[in-house]
Amino acid sequence: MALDAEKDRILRFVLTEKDRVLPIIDRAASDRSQIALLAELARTIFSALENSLEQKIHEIVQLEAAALPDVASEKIQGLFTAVQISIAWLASAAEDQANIPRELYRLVEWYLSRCPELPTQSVILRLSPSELSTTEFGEFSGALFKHGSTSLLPELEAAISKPFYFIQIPTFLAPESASIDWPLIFHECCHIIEHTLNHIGKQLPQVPRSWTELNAQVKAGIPEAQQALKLEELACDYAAVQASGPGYAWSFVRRFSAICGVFQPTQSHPRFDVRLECLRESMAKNGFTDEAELLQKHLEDMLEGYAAPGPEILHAHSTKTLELYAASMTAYTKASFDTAIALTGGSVASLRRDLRDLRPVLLDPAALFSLTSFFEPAFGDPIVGELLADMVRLERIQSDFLRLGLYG
Amino acid sequence: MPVADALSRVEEYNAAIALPHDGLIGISVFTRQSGEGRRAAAPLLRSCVKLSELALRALAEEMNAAREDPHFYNAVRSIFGQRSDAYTGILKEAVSTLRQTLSYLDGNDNEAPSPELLKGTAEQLRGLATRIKEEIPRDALMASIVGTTYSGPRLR
Repeated sequence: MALDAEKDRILRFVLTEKDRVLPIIDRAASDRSQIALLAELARTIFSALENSLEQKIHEIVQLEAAALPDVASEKIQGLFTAVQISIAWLASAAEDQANIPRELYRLVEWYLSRCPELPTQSVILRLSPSELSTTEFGEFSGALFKHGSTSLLPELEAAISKPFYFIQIPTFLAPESASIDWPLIFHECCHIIEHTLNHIGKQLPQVPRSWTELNAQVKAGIPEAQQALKLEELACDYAAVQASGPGYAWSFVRRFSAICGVFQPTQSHPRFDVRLECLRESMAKNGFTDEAELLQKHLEDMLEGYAAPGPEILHAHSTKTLELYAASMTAYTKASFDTAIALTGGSVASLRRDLRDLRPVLLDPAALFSLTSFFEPAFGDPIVGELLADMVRLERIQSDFLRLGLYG
Repeated sequence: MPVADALSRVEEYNAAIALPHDGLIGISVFTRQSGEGRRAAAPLLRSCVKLSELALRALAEEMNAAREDPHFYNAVRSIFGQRSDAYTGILKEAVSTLRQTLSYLDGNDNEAPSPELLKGTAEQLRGLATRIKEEIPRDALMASIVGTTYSGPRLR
């Protein structure tokens, strides 16, 4: 029967893709230790597909005998597309690695390691045309392999036993020359921390924790889901400032400043001016008063001549929750933040001079970024950007040196 | 299209297509089997009735329906919302026929719906499936996630 031939084709496709894709991922893994995680995930997926796909297609083919060849064919096609997209996702992530500096991985690893409660996370960076976002692979594949509320391939779901995150980075942000804007990735790290530790979720027990479910509720117009999602976004901004001070705020302004974010806000994110106000408040509270004033001025300039937008409807407990969240996150990043604050006392000027003169500086990454300033033209210089990336690498070497007990 | 948005539309397709598929498979099993074999149709028909009722609540913009299954709610609102009166009628008829069939399978009713009535309901469900496929181009959305297109094997 025609559908049996379809079954053979799909199974052949999986085997052929396995032979094609695994070597690509292995090659990337041989160059980068982090990619070993991706290779492990790919093997798990291929193994689950090889073990269960034939039986699943066989079950669907039975529908043909029930005189429903159209339904059977459509289901097989749906399953096949899900298989194809899952494999393509892994392959393209492996191919992206050549364009993602290892220092960016270091930054993610450094940030997540600040959080002692967080178990070791599997995080892979991949490129996207323009979006900075995070996808959890279990939720991703769960959405692809579904019919109604039932999983089409529960064996695959069972095989992916722990969360596996992909952070999508806009291509303009990946090069070392753009490293001045890398603090933006701290926001995504906060989403991973929140997804795992559920700080905000505990304050809002009535909303789902699954990102896809929460987003769907937001789209459906459920107010508490909208407020929860906006609150999480604000908390991730707030916490990113806790780690990298003005570095995050300036990058956010530089890369995402858009007036339409004020007048045509999305359902999932707070209005742009509300986010800036949150950043300003976080900076002011932590001693970056001059930078907070600059941000305030930027906000006023941006909105000058426009009627003030109405108030953003946030969750009733948003202030309390943000403070709670900030307290948790400050504990993770306090050391670097204190370093940054101490440096603003006077030696910040010499540090900036060193940066400008392309001399190496040893600071932890967040402290380094918290001292870079949007308003100084030198920091828009790609050479300075590359130097910042070099310093992230230097810090990694120093930290490995200390970990191994090597001194001198 | 951002990954999350494309995935969300794929979830909507997956949630919505279960309604006609479960109904069509259930009706097919019921009409092609006899005796005890027909009982295999019951869970599928029950699922179709449950989803049809949820769809009716979604068309009535009942927010609790959105809380129950937000993907399904969004799908129904976007696919059937513009001609909600017509689709409400179709769904109510389907629920009535399938409930009668279930009542017969449960032994509460001596008479099953006529083959013509079941055939008519199956046709309506096929129409709903076509509409869902037209409104949510699942394969194209999925391809947009990885930036590739692959037509894949199809039955022609």
